[in-house]
Amino acid sequence: MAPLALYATVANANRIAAVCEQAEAGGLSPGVGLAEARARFPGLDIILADPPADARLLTALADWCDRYTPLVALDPPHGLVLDISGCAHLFGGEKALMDDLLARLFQQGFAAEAVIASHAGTALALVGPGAPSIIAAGEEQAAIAPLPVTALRLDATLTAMLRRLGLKTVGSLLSLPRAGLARRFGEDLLTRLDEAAGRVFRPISPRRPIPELAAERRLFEPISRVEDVERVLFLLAERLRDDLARRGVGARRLELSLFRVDGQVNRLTVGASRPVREPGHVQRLFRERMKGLGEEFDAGYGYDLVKLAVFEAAPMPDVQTDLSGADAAVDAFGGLIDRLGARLGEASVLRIEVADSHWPERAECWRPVSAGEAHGSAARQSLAPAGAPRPVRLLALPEPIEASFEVPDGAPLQFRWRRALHLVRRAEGPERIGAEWWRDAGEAARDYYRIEDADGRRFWLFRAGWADPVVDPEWQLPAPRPAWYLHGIFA
Amino acid sequence: MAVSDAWPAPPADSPSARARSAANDTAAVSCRNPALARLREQIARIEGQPVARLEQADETATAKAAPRRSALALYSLGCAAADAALGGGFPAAGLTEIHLDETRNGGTLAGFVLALAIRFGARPDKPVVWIGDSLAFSEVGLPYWPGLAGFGIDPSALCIVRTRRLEDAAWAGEEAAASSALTMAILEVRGNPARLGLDGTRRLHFRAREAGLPFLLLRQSARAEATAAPLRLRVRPSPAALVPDLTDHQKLIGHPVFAVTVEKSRDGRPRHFSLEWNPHERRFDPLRPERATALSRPLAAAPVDRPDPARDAGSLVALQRAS
Repeated sequence: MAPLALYATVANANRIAAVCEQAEAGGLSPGVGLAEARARFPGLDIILADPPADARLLTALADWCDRYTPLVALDPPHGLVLDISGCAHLFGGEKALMDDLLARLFQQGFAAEAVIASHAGTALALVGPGAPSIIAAGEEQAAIAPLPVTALRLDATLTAMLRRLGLKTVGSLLSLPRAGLARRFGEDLLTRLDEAAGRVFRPISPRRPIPELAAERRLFEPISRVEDVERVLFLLAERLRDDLARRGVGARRLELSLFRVDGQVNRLTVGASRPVREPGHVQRLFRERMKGLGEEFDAGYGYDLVKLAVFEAAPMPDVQTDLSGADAAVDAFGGLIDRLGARLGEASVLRIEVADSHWPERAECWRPVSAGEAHGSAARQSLAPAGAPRPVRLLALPEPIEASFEVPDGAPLQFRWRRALHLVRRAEGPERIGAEWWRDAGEAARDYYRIEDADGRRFWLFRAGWADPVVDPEWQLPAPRPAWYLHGIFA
Repeated sequence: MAVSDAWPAPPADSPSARARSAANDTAAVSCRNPALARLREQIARIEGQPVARLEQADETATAKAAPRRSALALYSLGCAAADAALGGGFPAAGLTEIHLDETRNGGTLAGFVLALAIRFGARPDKPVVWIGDSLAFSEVGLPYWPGLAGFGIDPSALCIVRTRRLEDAAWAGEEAAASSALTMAILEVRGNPARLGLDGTRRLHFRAREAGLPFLLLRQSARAEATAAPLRLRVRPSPAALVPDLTDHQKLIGHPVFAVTVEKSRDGRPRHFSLEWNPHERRFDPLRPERATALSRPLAAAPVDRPDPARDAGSLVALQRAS
């Protein structure tokens, strides 16, 4: 197999960006020009580097690392920071966790190094070949003192300047007075130094939201059948139920993470219209979700870790049921909504709400249904609008029609919509609706007509934006012909 | 194949029709005696009576198991002519198909269905679920809040399920048909998809009947095909009524009017009726003949011995250029 190297274009020059072990052993190092590398190593296999693909791989690895802790942060271009506080005992201690992680990564073909320290800054500075694996709390300064200043990840000019001044190790920086360092090299150097020495806390930003509760199950034999996944899911939901009950909450949004043996992670998210706690209910929600996936549900070689996390919880008071059966009806409706929402997506199950706008398209808004609101909305009984009648169905976009009408600005006499001719028998209007100038300044006002055609169909038409300015100075948009649209259909 | 269509309705004066009316008279007796009802059903099966009668007997037999179904078998629309045409009232449980000639009449269909939902008592804690695929909704538009409120229904009592594919809509319809928490379920599709053929409609009908739920299957621009629904209607638009107290102003558009044709029913006779929906009172009014005429007073006859009277000047029309 030929040695491999990647090149990238840096400052208008093609330079080697990364090399494999074989090429490295042969004497090639990153930074060499592409032409020179080709000349020196005729058998070298050189390909263009693909940073977005590297980023995707790193993200996939971060997903995979969710099996150790929910707090995984990216450290581009090829590092990950895992906050394992409170997680290590699950794997038999910090050392065992790190060994397990490195062994699994090695099996997947990654060359990885790891350092465990009390501070993220210390670990990031130390990580590299030949580093001590675990730094106990309080030993950070001693550990980082022999490192070269490049370990602090300063920018290149600053690093070069420090080297020129003879400050080659972190220890030499630590021994200098701080005020002078800050004056000479800026605050950034001190921050980096303090982070690495564990004197200040370096926050990490986890990639994914932190679940409120999570339960997981590790499987020695990978499972791939949907029924097995459902059974494991039921057991996990049973474990979560007690925790939820202790907090007096129920889950509104749940995520099931399925860790495949080959490192890929499948995630399924379901939302419930009201807080749920019962394992059977949770299982039903995910069952519909998996059915909705159909062919996309690909277990590969099986899952060896299943994790159920609650991302959103809501208070769930213990209610006493009565004999009237009213609660049962709400429960049944909630169950139906959840099943539909889990399979079709929550954006498919909608209810209409009134919005505060006179512009016809914005007079309503669509929201996903949540069954808990059903009772509340009974109180605010909607009142019929007192103004002019409105159609029961509104087209998503007004459709242009060809209309003949009384000039200059009368009602339409006949019009052609979707290639069918409609003769207008009765017309009411116009009702002028002005645009919302505070939202879209250029929008023209509309003159709406409610018309009935010869067969008795009733439509809502409007004329946009034109009339003779002499007749009607209010119109602002001159256009060659007035544009007519059909916007709604009356009952 | 077509179970219910295979039995032509017997003429009214035939012996079997007389027997049926006798059976209806003794329905009260059979209610009290389930064993007798079961025997009757068996005899009816042996004799090969129409399915409609079998279903009725079946309902009486299982009256104890599902008292709600038998008690609410038919629901009055509040209009005698319509109830008579529907054979006593609108079915309170099970599948009903409503067809539409052309998609552009979708407003009439929506109005009729919403009026039915109001009659059935839709409210926010016992809502109406309206399912449709995105094609069906995009052709005639989605329900509109101000319009719904003006029509008399509380818009928060309506739950819209809009699916991407027709298969999903059909699945959602079957889920909703089995739910007891709804006032009514509505499934709107375009045409006659194979998924909602005889088998699909039978499944919907049985589920809805078990749950005691009225289920409306709306078909835009559909052919009349074999269906398991006991009742199939066709709705057509009709000129709106004149505005009450303003009958001189004939240009004004009053309450909506629906022209309904009963295409398939238990007694098998096609019927027609027109209903006017009163959004303020939330009730159906029969179409009164004096409202149907354009003018409240008869016109004076044109004189026969005079020249043709001058017409109005007419109105100027903006025509498209012919080029």
